[in-house]
Amino acid sequence: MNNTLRLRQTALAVASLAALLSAAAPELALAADKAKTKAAGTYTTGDFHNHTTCSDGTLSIKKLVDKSVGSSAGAGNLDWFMLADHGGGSARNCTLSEDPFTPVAPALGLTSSDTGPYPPATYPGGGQPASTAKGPNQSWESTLPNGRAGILGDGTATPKVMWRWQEIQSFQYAVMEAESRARSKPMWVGLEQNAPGHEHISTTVLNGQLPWPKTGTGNANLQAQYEYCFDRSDSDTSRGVTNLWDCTVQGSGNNNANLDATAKKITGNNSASTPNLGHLKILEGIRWMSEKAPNGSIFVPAHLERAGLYNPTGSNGFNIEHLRNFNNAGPRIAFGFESMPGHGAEINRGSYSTNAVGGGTFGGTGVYAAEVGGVWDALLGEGRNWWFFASSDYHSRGSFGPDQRETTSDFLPGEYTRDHVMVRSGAASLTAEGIIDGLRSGNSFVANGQLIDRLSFTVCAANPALPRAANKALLEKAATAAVSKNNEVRIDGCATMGEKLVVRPGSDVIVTIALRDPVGTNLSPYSFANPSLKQIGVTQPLNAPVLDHVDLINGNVTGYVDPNNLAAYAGAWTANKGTPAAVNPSTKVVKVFDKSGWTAAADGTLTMSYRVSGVKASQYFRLRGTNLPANLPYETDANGNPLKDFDAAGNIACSDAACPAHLTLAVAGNKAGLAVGAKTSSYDVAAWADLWFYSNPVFVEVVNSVKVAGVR
Amino acid sequence: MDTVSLVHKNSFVIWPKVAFATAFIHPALRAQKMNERSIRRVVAACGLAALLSACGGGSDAPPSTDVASNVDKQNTFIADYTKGLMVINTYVGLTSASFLDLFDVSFLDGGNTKPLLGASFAQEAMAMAASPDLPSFPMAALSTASISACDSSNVCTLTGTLSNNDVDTSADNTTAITFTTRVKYSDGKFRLLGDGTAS
Repeated sequence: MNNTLRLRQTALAVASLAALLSAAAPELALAADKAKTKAAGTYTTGDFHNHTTCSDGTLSIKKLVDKSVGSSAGAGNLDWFMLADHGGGSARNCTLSEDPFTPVAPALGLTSSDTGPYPPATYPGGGQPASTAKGPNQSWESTLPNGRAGILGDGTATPKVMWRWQEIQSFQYAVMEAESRARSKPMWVGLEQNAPGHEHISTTVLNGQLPWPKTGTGNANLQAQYEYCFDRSDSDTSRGVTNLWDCTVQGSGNNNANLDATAKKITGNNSASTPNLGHLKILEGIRWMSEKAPNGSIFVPAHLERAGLYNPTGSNGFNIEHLRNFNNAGPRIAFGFESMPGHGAEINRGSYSTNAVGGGTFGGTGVYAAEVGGVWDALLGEGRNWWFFASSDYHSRGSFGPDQRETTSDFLPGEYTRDHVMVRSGAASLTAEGIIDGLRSGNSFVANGQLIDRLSFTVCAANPALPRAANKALLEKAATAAVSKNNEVRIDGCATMGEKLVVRPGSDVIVTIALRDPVGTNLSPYSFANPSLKQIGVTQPLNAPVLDHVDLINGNVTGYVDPNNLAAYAGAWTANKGTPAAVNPSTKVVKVFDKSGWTAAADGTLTMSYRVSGVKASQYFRLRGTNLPANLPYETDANGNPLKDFDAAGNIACSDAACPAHLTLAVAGNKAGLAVGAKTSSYDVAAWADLWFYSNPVFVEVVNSVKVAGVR
Repeated sequence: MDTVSLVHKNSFVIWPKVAFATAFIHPALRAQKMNERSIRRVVAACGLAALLSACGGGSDAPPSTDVASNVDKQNTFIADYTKGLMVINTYVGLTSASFLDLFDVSFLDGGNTKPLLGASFAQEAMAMAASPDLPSFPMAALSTASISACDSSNVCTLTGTLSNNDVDTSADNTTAITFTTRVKYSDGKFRLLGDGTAS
């Protein structure tokens, strides 16, 4: 059969994909687990999206790991780490460490050099140059014992590019396993997939890998196979040479009928002749994960607004129907997004241009999650398990080197953005499986700049027999205690993030929040006054942010949208919430907590609660908070919503004598009337100035109302 | 009088042993979702209290003359409220007329009135039949309760400790809070009056 014709038929079939997906009905949901059945847990910090020279990063695996989970100045000191280089291939050998490994102690004002000596100089922005004949920028071909012959699969370039599947299987995994055990922290290999039909997706297939505390010899064979089978940039047709991989997905005619006879995988992508084929292929990837590693896989679209709207003939962004398709295809695997991108210190924050969906980031977050009542709320309004995540996407520090504290591009994993993820059984027995379970559970939150480092967020039914003040006090005490121990409230009748509370119609519910705005400084190297706040006369050190307020956001749940109802299921994002499929009109900020409404403790713990009387409809609550007040010029609107970060660019002065030299200078015609040539808050300074946290939602399901079907 | 006593921090309560044995651990209640551990604690406390009551005890607060003569009534109220809170997640507890009678007709607490409270209990009881997940509100155990500071209108202050024992049963229970609310003595009984706030 003519393969092209077959692919075209498949592409046409994608048009009716929604009908196929409708078969993926969610499991009958249950209420949150009873307190006694929940193992004790701890919130842990980690990062699952970052890069080495085995793709387009600038560091070795070892140095990236050290900067992520180590405790040197500016390092993230994370509890866990997932390596996620791009798919495709790389000519560089990321298993070689920088030499010397740590040339100087990280600090502001270091001098970098392409030629050394190291020290006193440190490495430049691109990492240790290959010309030094040391370090991870050297090629595989020049450093493998058998040179070019050791690089398998297709490829004719010089130096020869090694496919990612081989890097993962034969080189990266062993280093990661050794690093994990040496540092006694779970660390494993994932993949930032160059997704067919889309831009990028953070993924992992854990099965086979044995990071600490596991023992024995593990492997990343499944992770490598996934890359071979489903990465858009992996055009190798060798089937992994001796692996003889076959990318069949059990019971999937869409996939299996379109496998290339030689490569044993779908080799096409979205194109003019095969529109939507890439999207179909990536859905098959989710099904493959479900088949091979249903509990050990994650699939989290990254910086999903960056590449613009979805393009059926290209590999651009994601519309809401694609997120729904992913979640329908594998709700245990595709359960959230990185709507808060990495690259937080770029001049175009998040590496989003004005061509991104929404025209840029908003307080560092893409419009899909930053817009109250927008795409994320539309998904939550269905009762879906669709969670908010963020990662560093670390590649480099731009014009600075890895040991320099300034950055014009990326923050190191954990330096700025952290996922705080509940892992049951506690940090003492932290495992990669437990971390993936935690990511899947939705019991997590994201914070920038250590704005907060602990959070207890619960919704509890009110006990009608108790005095109201006493009921409130008991729940606030429980929340405060949970924060003090960095764990969660375990009380029957309370649900936390990623869970749902089932109540009778007419019940009162109490939203209780305790969080910690940590005392002391964060990892910002700058102690001068926050330029954004300085606009309104507030002097607050950039490395000692103070939480200004917390927004409690609430929206109704109206149930899963039928994929056949295209008007409600599919549609490209438009400004002013113009796409019915991508909005939740019921969503609003229902309560703003600030210092007048919370109780503050000396250790920075802030406790607050809010009672909702007579709940009639199924709904959800989520939180966001920031160090910036509402109506702050170029930063927030009158309702406290983050403004587009491009609005701030070039309009906020950085007038302190300590403002670094790399900042952009005001140009003529700037809206703020700054003197031409004056330093402006930009790059890393702009990011440190504008901090946010986002919680995942807590759902409330009212009996005899809409089922919150995607959530336990 | 054949009694057992329940010691509180600065006072004690006395309740009929027969009533405890028959109503408190009635088989019908056992069939419900009763917190058996909490019951055992009360029983143990009652035994200890019986010993201590012989040594004398009482409130430090200066009650009004009328209320002061009704220590037994204070203790009866505390015991009944304690007991009622322990079974409020059961059908029997929610539909107990005697529990609802612990709330004064003028009860007002954060906008909640006695009629609203009664309706709420009834709705919770009805909802139990519809869903095994209900009622879903957190339970709270009352301990170290006492009544004091009674005024000339026989309005007093109930002070107690509330805690949730679903998971945390440690000595420093992380949910334990001390609370106060108003109670009123009339018609020979103490009843909850609430904080008097309309919202």
